[in-house]
Amino acid sequence: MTPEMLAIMMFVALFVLVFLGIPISFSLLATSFVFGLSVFSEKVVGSQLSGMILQTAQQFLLSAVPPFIIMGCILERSGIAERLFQTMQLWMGRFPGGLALATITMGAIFAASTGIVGAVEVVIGVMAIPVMLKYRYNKDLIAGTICAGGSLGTMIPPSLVAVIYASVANMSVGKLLAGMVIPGLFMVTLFLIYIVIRCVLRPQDGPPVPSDQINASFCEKIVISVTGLVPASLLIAAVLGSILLGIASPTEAASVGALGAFLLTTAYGRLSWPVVTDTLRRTILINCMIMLIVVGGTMFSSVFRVLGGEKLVATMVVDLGLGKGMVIFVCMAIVFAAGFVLDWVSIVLICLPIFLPLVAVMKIDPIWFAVMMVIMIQTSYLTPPMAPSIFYLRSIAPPEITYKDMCVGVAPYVVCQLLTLLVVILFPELATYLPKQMSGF
Amino acid sequence: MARSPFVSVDIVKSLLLRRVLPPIDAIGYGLAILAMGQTVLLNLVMIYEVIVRYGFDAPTLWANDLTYMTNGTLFLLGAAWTLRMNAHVRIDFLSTLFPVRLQHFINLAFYVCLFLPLIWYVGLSQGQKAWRAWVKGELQNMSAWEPVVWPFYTGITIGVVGLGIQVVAEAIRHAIGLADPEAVPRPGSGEHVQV
Amino acid sequence: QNITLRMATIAPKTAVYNTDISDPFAAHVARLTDGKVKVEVYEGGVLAPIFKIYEAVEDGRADIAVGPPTFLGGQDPTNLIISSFPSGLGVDSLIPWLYHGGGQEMLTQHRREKMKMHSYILGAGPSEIFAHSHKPIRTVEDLKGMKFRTLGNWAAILKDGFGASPMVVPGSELYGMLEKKGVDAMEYSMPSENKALGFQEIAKYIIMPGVHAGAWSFEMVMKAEKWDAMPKDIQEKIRVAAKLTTYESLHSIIMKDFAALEDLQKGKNEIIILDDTFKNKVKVASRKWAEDAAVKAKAEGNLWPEKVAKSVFDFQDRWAKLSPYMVMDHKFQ
Ligand code: NA
Ligand code: NA
Repeated sequence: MTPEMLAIMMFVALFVLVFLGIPISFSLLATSFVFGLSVFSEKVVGSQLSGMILQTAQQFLLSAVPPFIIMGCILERSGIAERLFQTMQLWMGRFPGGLALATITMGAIFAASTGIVGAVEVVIGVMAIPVMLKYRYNKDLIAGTICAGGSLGTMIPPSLVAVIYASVANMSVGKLLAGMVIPGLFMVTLFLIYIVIRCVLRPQDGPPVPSDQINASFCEKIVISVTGLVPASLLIAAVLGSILLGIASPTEAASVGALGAFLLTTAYGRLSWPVVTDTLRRTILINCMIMLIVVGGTMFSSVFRVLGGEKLVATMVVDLGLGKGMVIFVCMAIVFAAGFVLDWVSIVLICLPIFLPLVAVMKIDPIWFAVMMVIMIQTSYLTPPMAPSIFYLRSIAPPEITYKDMCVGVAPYVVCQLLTLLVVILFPELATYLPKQMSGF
Repeated sequence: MARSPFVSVDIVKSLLLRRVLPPIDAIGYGLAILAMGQTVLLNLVMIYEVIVRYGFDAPTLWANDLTYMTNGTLFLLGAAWTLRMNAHVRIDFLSTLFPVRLQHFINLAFYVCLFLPLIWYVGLSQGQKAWRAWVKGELQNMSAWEPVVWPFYTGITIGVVGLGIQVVAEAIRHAIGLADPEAVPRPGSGEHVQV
Repeated sequence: QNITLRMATIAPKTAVYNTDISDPFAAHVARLTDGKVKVEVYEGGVLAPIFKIYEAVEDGRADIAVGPPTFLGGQDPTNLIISSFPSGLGVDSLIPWLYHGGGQEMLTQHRREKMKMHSYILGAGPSEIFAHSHKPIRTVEDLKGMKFRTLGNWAAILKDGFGASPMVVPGSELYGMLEKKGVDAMEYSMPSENKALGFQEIAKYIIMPGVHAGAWSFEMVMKAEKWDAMPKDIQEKIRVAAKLTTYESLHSIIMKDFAALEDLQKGKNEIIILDDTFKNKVKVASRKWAEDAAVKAKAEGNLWPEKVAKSVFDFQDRWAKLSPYMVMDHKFQ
């Protein structure tokens, strides 16, 4: 069997294991091990795989994950999250799907403070899922909203995807991030519009709060809002503020958030030993689950590339001799299709070295192209079976939200992302305007 | 429970379930408690760095290394307990339709034929790296602090070995389940906690 | 018979370390051996985490590793002195030292003796940018108290020699931290690399020349037993390919830097050129660091750092003394 054939067989083997009910991370690890044996001896595979563990373990940005989980768990267990969402519901309650709108908004806000999808998703998920279930929201709407809100972690700066992309493409990460801002906000808007349209057409999917709460007097509303909204807003201000003022890096800001949540809970008199232990236990479980998937993905990607996975892509693009429009279309189609089965790191590292020379030859604006790529890469978080957003959601969602709910729920959001891509293709200025305005120092 | 044809099988089963597996599970939980301590440490280190850097213009050279080393070991130290709590995500909508014995068989076969060999070779290699680092007094390269790396490597090794031990325990559970599906929880349901 | 060698590198396929070093080397080897030896270049992170390429060779995942000796760290200071060193050899004197001043021989000998590996110099490059900074740096006093992002021995020299506050920022957070003024100044790489990543967009001052990294070289390592088992004529052709690549890469990278510098000079940054006083003070502080490290290593029975440092410093002093007879197109602004 040729190495390229083996590279394709890796996916087959992976999905057989996954659908036999083996944990995702173990399936990734085992597939890498078995296919690694086709290149290396057993001992060398062991050292190759432990090298990839080390690669993940040394990734500084991943240190933001535990603090973000802590923040989410404390806020949820102390009741602060629920009050926050209730307050948002109070004002947005007249809007159909108010809680889902609030969740996407929270996702966008937390996405502005970290570049890691898992961190955003877990923090909004643990806070919003119980509240939305309590108000009897439709389960696939809940699932899709949490996954899509989490995936904003890549699209709203800062963004790990953008950093890796920029370093591989040798371009300014600042310009790329600036280019992503308008399309990112556009995408958030599409998400919100989708929720509104759906809940207008099917009010039972996102039922409004009981009218006695909405009909509270203005003064009562203010009091509820101050107690519900202000503490959480302070927390968000502390996290975002410490980044924007150069006090902390985004990764460090995550721990500022965790500390803030801890102090807030103490101030509310909600801090107790059970809250602390429960938070730590959940943090370990969620963090280990997420990180082991990252390790598995890293190993899978390395073995896939040792087997020459990029040759597969190269034959698809380079050999065809296409025009400018078709090159963009084919590149995006490949990234979208690859997103179903590959994690985004593999996509960036395999596709970029093949695409970039074409982009240069065709004189395609590299920032425009990069923004389109990031939008497409974001879909890979949502498209099953290899859908990290769905995996993370499964670790925090109760069993009543099924895998099917999740796959169904993300589909409309993927459509929103594709629409965003279309709009950026039609109006390149959406991506290129802000980078040109960058004033610098 | 009367399905086992021989009394001795029941004895072995209850011995495993009551005497052998609980202490193994306890090892995993012990490592997880260590990991919980590390998450606290992780936060404290980052906050300390922010305070001394911004407040006193005196950044440390060690906070960065200590941060990723702590995070890089804690997720492996917690991996065993995460397995015991069935918190490693599975896609099980298809597999739960299989007969329970078949599900146990699949998991058992996976652990014994694929996962334990993998853990063995990875653990061996990781252990060698830790040992080599200890013997040579290897320092962290490309860092301004240059700490010795053996504690980091050792933490990773302990995590991998701990996971391996827990996998053995889970394999035993599935073997019991293959013989007597009622003696153990269904695969994937286990002592599933809502995390 | 045909030989295929897997080569671990430290960077993405698109980085100069691959486009100007690994890839041309693989092409030269193929050409010189009539295709009998095929070097397969794997980008950084595939065969090993990038700082662990030597380990990849040791463990047999890769046959060759290409990278900077500094990745072996400060445990044996030889590695920090032999390929690049703060205030060390310059763009003009590096290659002469490597091939005519004993550098290559010492490297090969050291690797054989300490690591059971065979090593050749493979690839060289010019000066880095000293700093992108929010504050002007003209004298060493300006460094005092400055939050300066850097790594390795330069961090120690900045701190002990000049009272700066060296700061560790991972590469992925560098742009954001400089942009938000979380760091006062940072060094990263050569003009072409820095310009591509856009640091000039967010910090006004660009300080040159990069006395902390005046010029640098990479090496290729193989397990000694594996190298020794290869036919003599193949070994010779690989040596020639490595040497040719070293000469070529230094100059092709300079051309890339020139293109970047033309843009940087046109931009609105203020470019500060460090004067001789500054450079001499850095030289004194850096040599002191090297001598202290050598003394410490000697006490532990490792004579290499002293030997290499002496060779570098003697060659550098000799170069400075005798080079005025040469016509140089270089001039200060
Ligand atoms: Na983000
Ligand atoms: Na996907």
